Amino acid sequence: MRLLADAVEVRYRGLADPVLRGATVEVVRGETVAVLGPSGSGKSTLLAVLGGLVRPTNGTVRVDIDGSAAPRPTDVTTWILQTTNVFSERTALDNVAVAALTLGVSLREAYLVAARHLAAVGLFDRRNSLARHLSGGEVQRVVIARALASRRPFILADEPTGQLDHATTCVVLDALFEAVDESAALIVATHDPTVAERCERVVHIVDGRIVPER
Amino acid sequence: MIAGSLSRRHTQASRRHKKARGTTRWRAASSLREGYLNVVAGGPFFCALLAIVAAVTATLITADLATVHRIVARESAFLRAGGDLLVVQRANDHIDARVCARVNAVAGVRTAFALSADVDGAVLAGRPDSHQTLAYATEGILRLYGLPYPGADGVIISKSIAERWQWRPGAVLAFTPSSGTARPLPTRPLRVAAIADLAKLGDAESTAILLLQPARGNADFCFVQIRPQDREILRSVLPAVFGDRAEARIQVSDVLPPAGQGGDPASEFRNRLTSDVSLMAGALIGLLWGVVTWMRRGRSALYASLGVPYAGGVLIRWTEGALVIGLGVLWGTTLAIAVATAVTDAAASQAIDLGVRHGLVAMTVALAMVALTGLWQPATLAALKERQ
Ligand SMILES: Nc1ncnc2c1ncn2[C@@H]1O[C@H](COP(=O)(O)OP(=O)(O)OP(=O)(O)O)[C@@H](O)[C@H]1O
Ligand SMILES: [Mg+2]
Repeated sequence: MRLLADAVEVRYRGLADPVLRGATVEVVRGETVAVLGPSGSGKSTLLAVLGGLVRPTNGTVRVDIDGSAAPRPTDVTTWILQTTNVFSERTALDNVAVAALTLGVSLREAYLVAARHLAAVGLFDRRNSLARHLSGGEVQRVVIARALASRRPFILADEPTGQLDHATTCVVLDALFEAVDESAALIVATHDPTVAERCERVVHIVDGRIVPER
Repeated sequence: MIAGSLSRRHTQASRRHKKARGTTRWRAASSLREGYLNVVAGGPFFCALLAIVAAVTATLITADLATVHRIVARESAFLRAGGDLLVVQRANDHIDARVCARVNAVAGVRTAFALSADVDGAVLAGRPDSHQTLAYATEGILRLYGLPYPGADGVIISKSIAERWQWRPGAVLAFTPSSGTARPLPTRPLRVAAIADLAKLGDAESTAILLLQPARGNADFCFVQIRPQDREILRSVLPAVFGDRAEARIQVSDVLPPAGQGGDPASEFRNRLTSDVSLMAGALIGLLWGVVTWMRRGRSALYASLGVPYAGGVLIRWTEGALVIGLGVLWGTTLAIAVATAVTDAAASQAIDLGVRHGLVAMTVALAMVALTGLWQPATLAALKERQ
């Protein structure tokens, strides 16, 4: 399964210049890709286009599967956003379990899976805390656990460790990279060189244009 | 440790779990559960919303219950004062008491009785200077006042007579004829059987002692107590019953003029301003829920971005709305009915009947609007980015 952005151009209403200018990216299931670039260069926009949240002005985004009907990008991607985005009045466990429930598993199974993924990001003990009582870094780990629990083939992570200290960053990255090693792809927009180093491939984006490397 | 046993179970769970990768199979039951948990988790916010919904419902429904109570109370006071009485007389002549008794069989007539007054017709034995008005009525009058048959020597006295002579039921009295006596007087002692509000039959009757009389011979008037809704038809039918003649016309009139009562209660009821309060309540609550839905759009977007399908998101929003709005309207309706029955001493069945109907309308309108707003799903990225 491949996720393809082909010569994508994105213009936002009210902006004179396009934010993405003919960006072409291909991500194969199982690989890890870092998207690096200066602030405002279009990293978040590229992720949004790949995830089907933003419709490209020109060019196409599609999912390729050998010999079977292609799902929409929104159905194969999951998000770890630059800003934390959780149900703040619900527990950490509830937040993660919702993602598992989208797979149609039983309630019991969804909560077991959720507990396992919370344990993997070091939050097993906080599983029954309301999300609004967690620190920014803890919430970000809940979001990562949730992305893993959704079992989607492409995880789009927008600065997933931006709010974490060094030790926590290591815990979280371990969990993240362990989860994607066989069956999922990770596309991570980041400024953090340690994140980029752990990825198999780095895509540089400058001024809305992609400069492949390595 | 826990972690060890947990991880074994999790491995099994996750093996099954992995088969599902990449597809969305959200269950309807999960939507119901999420909606319910969101309402519970939204504690203070939803409590406040529930209270507002209940207050809006209760205030508006109570307003109409109070209006209707006022109309009904005014109408029943009007009827109690004689508003449901027609009086039939013949110009410059008598009417036939037997015909009057037959009017009891006419549809729409509750009771009919012939009445004659003999002003100053007697003097009370032992009180030579008392000039006493006597009234003679056929037995239909007992149904008007809800009295049992008083017995051969029983009389019914007006309230003012009871007060003047300090008579109670059981008091014994006797007459001596006066100069103006028009009919033969009973000479045996009589007994007060009941005290009744005879004043509504006329001025003469307000100070009368009333004796029952068989339905024969002539009488001054025929009083007809009617079902209020049959007033018009009976007014047009009665002259024929009594035999209207050109030289001696039958006149049918209201004992109390209905116009003096600020309009006909039926049309007052129909045209009251508050009759559509439940529609208003439902619409207001629906709009309020629309605002809440808009405020919570980030949550809807988040569910969508997690892979909850559109229908699943709609069902979550419906569950939340149905719980909060449904409970609120239910609470408000109950409150309105309780207040109306307690404060206005209105007949409970009337308040319940009207209140429940209002509650159902408000509920239907509000839930229809909940259903409609629930169909709206915000553009995912825009809603998610607004949280930054
Ligand atoms: N919805 C929008 N409407 C208009 N302009 C937008 C919108 N989203 C992003 N932009 C603009 O597009 C440009 C690229 O934004 P983007 O978020 O993709 O940058 P980024 O590379 O992720 O930056 P950062 O590293 O700061 O997160 C920026 O100039 C931004 O202001
Ligand atoms: Mg960004």
